Amino acid sequence: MTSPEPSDPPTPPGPRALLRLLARPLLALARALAALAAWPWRHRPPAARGLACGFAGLVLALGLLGTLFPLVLRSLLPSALDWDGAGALLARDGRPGDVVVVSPPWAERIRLEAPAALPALSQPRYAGEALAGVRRVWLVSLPDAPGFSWDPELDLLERAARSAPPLQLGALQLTRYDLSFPERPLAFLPDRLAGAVVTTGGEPCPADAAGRFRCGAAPGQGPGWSVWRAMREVEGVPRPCLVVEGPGAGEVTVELPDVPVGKVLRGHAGPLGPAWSAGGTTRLELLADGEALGAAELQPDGWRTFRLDTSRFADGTHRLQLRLSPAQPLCVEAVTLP
Amino acid sequence: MIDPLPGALRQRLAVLGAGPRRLALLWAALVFALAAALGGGPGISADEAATFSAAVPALGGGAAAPELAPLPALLARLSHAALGGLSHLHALRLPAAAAAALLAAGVAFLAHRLAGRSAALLAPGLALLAPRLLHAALTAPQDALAAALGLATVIAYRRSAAAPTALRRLQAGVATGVLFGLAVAARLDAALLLPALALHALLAPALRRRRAVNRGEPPPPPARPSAWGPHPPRTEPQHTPVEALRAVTRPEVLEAGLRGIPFALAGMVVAGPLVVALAWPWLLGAPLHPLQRPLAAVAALRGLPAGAGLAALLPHPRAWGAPALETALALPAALGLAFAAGLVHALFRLVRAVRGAPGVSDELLLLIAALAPLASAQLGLSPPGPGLRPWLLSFPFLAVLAARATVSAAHHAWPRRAGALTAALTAGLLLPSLVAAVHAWPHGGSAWGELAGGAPGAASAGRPRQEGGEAAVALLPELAARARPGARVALAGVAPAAARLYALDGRLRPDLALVERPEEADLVLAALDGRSRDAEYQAWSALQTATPAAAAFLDDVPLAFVYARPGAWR
Repeated sequence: MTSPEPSDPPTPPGPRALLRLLARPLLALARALAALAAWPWRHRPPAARGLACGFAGLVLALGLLGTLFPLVLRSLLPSALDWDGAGALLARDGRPGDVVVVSPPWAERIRLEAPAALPALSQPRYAGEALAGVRRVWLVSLPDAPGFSWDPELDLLERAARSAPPLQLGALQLTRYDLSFPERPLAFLPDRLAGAVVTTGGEPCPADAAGRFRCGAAPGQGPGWSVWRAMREVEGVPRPCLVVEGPGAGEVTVELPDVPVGKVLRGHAGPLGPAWSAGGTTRLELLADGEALGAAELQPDGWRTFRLDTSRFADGTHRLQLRLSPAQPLCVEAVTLP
Repeated sequence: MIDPLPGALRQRLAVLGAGPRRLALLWAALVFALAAALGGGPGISADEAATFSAAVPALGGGAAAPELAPLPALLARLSHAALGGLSHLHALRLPAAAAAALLAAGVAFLAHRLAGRSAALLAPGLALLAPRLLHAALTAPQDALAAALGLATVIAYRRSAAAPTALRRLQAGVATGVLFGLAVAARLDAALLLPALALHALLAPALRRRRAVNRGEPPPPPARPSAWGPHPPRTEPQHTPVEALRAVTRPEVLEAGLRGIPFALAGMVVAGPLVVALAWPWLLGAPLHPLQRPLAAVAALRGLPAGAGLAALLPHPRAWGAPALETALALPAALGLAFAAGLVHALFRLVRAVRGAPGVSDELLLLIAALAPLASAQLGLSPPGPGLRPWLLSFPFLAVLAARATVSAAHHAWPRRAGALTAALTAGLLLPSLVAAVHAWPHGGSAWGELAGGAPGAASAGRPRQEGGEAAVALLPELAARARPGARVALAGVAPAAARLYALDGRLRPDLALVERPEEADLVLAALDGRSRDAEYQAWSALQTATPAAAAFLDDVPLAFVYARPGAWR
């Protein structure tokens, strides 16, 4: 009698067998879920009632949202304490060469809180903005405010570095940016108008008590030239500039004595008031000590940049002359850079 | 007619009476009392200042602009002359309060006719409570008056069409013409009512014929002889001239002579211009060039140069959907939804009426009346005013349609508790408007709805912050308290007539002198209305400071700043 052969261990069921095993319960589950999903559709109300219920539900929901909206909005905006805190911090840590940038641009409340020595800028974008004389930018932002955009911060990040994480003051955020390559202008030409000599047709123009130069017009030629230093709006942005207004023909010369000159003279010009008429380009010539530095033909659209190489006259002070023949009121500013 | 009022409310209202007229009168009294009491709160915008300048020569501004519609200035002048005991601003704004009251009454009356008492209780709130609409009702006399008279014109037109006898139709037709003339004398672009109602007169018979075909009935006979039909019956020869005149002016004869044109339209064409000519004789003052002055008036309405000529009639379309988008952003979201639902509901009812249900003419009339001002604004034919005012004539009809849709929805959603649901929906629609109006007061013209993100979201999107310098009024008390005695004040972005009116009412301290230019001023009050800020920036140079001494805000959005020369602010 032989001992029985040991039997092979049972083989685990293969995938097909597993599938056959699970098929019925899975099918039953799928049928139950489909029936559950179809139940609301089978028992749906008539179309009119369904629409009416939907409308009523929406009205009640929007009504609740609308009633609470002022409270919700208030919670997203800074409190008076937040603004005071930002103002105190800027007063404590602000230095010459700092500016405040607000984001969103309408958040100009900081101008009441920040020290008067810190200019506040409220433009929508800063790409390509000169920021002459600025070393540090304090970005005051309201990130939770409706319509907030990261655009100003992105523009600043392209040319500045953040030295510390943003400081949260309630719903306000304060971030300090140090410009990577701050410009240190040698001179800002509009600020030198007080000592200037303005002439037209060789005749000097007297200045009034407010520092505005007025050139008398020839008989029958309408108003003459006026040149003065003012803050004016160009393309929605406040610009400190020399304002030149004239009869639309002819030329005016502004002579600025003892201006420190570096390697570059960079400036901007733009129209004041309505857009320039077609074909109304302005020619701007610059001379240093009577020698031509260069000229620019400024097109009648927007805030245009011009740049002249002044390296021949670098490292000294010179008599600069701006010769202008604008077709309509013009805002001009320029800086000399090392 | 649906009238699912809760029992308790029904008992209270029984005291007031069930008729639509009584409810309309109650609404009128309530709205007039509120508007008269609140009228001194909001500031004066540039448009309103122009009306006041024409009404009160002491406000200066040179000769009154004759190309502006005269009725608002005329009413303001009468009110100002008659009510010397009130402040100048209150007296000048009483006609606007009366117009708002008339509007509320008309809306309540029409809503009651369409959908019962519940709708009559809801509709005036929808038309007047939202901050922008309330602000327009209080401060824009030409718009509120034109909206009220436009609504009355449409009601009279409908009465004329439905009157049982020719005499009644004639009377209502004349009333339609007179009301139309008054609406045009209030705001010139109310003239769009004529083509709108003419469109209705053209389409309604066609739709009625279609309805009859859908019902399998013979086409309805023409109500009146058509223009292509047989000649009107000859009258018997009369013996005296008076008898002959009476014979040809009998209403039936006149109606037959119109050959299918409704009395109301004829009234608008004949009586309307007569009323306009009486109220606005300047329009007829150039006999050699009869179109010159009307075209100048149209150019002034649309903000075009005076010499625009026929170009003033050309459409300058806005961006597609701009009026609808502006409405959705400026109003609370629930209200915008209700207005949209009202239009959809009306369209649905029109389709159903064409298929056989009753009321095809009325549904068509309501839709045209609601949509015509929006279409006019879309095409750029209405004045280019701020906010919702260019298409304000739509809102009475939108409110009525929205109220009807709300009541109908409550009835369909929960028939057994329709009254309670109507009350809940009324609260859901009116509470956001009430809360927003209180929150924004008195800067209703600066308010924006939830979809825009409120005033901050709208400012981020570059939308206007106010209508025309009216928010500067919020800084007058602080100016009075802290300005140095004898300081010179310049107001930038504020109409000169508004500044003079503030001074006349004592809201500007008597010792403070008004000057025109920032260079001459010690204090500059600058309003931020989304337009140029050049005057404000010039004030920075003149006063040697860019730091405001005081400011007015709505949800942290600056509406006005005060800048002060050193030593001029205590």
